[in-house]
Amino acid sequence: MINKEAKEKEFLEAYNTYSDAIFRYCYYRVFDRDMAKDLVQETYCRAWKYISEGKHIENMRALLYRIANNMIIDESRKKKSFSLNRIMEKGFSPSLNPLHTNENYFIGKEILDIVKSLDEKYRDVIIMKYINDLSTKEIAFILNETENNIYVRVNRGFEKVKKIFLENQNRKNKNQ
Amino acid sequence: MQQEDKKINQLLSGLKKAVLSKAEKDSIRKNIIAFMRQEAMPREPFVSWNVAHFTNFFPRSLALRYVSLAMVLSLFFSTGVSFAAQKSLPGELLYPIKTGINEKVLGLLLVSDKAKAKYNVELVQLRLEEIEKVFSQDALDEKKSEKMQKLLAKHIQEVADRASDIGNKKDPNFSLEINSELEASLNAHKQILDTLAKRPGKKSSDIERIASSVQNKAEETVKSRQSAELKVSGRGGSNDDSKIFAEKKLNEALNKINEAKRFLVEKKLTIQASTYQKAENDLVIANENIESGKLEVTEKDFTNAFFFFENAVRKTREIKIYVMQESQLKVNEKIENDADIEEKQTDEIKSDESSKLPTVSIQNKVLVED
Repeated sequence: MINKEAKEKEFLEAYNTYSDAIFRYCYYRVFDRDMAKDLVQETYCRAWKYISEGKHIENMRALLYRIANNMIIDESRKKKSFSLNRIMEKGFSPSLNPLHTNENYFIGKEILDIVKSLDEKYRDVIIMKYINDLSTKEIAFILNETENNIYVRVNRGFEKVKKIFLENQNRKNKNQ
Repeated sequence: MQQEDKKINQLLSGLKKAVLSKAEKDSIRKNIIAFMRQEAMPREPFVSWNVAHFTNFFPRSLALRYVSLAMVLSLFFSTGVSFAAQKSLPGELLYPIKTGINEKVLGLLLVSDKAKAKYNVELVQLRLEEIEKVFSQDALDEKKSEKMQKLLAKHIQEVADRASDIGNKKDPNFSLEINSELEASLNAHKQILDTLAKRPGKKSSDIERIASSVQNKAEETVKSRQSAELKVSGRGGSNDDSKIFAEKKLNEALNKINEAKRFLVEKKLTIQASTYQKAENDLVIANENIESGKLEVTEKDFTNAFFFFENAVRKTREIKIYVMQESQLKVNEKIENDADIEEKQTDEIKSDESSKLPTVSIQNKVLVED
């Protein structure tokens, strides 16, 4: 009984500690606040199921990310997101307000657009590394890849972001 | 170059500001704790109705998503009775427990107006399914019909009142969504009721009366939905917000259309050919609404685009309801398709000539089942 209570306490502590990070992870993958909240909840519920089955967890944070990652992959397989971009043939930027979707406020629109434009494999590792502060080792565990692959992918991803960013800057400077 | 790297790092770090609000965190935490408590309890099986409906009437981001009916039922002294009541139909002994106790308790668990509104829509759906099932079992009489209509009207009114309240106070988009769901449900069941009324050898006056009442309610709901659309378009707000709503609704509509297509293929052999044809036509209508919505997007009228996409979602909802219900009622058991009618006529001519086994054509038919 004491052991169960200790487990519960530890688990809820993990919620307090990592819920924002998991939310960010989900949000910048699905770009839908409500869906991201649901994914957070589902992630923790599944993690609890895993724990209550008596399985040993070495790294709670990595487990949570892995569960969230698998769910996001499942979601993306079920749904193909159709962007109004294709209809309007212009760029489309969703509201990026982290606090309330109805307010017209966004953060880092330009950099987010760049990240979104990357190939999925680069986009995911950039989000995990630079927004979620995960180590290469943790990213490798979550994505079930080798550390070396992740290291190379992160660097290439960052170079791509930089390249697009500089091109945009040059274009802006020319227009001014 | 290092400066540029630093700048990009800083910009990416800026995206770390996306966090959950305190209210959101608390709400999710409550749900997780409820799940943890549920996991600790001995497992009870869900009654089949609840498996389908439970995830529908608890909206995605609201509380108590993981509360099982079993947990609720365990609050009762006579757990076995409450559990058994869930399967009961109008006229059966335990039906008053289902509607008077079980459903009321489930309703009390729901905190927000939105969750209650969705729940009320599910109750409307359930009442209509019960009516259809009772009629299929030849158990519908005038007295039962009146009681069921009364209960159905009560649930519909509850939906209308909540939708109106939510629309006036907070969220015209949600009010529109609820009205749209109700309209889809009523339209779909009207279709089923009409089909049932045509079944040969059935006393159809009671079901026809109910179908007519459902038709009237559907027409009233159309007016409520249109009124909600006016509120949405008069709401104001930025063009960016309208764009976001329209894009979300478009994605929802496209996913629903794909789901409906797959569903139709799955259920093809368990429904009438005419129903299948109607569903295909309705899918065309849904797609036409998508195209109209896209045209509105090119004109940057995102509000109108949203309405067209919502129409598409509503159409797919209707399709799923009437296809599912017909399949479950096995309405097609006694209905022949066009090809079989011709075969039957040929066989009957032959059987008349031989004067043996006049029902040979029917015996040769393969009855399609689930």
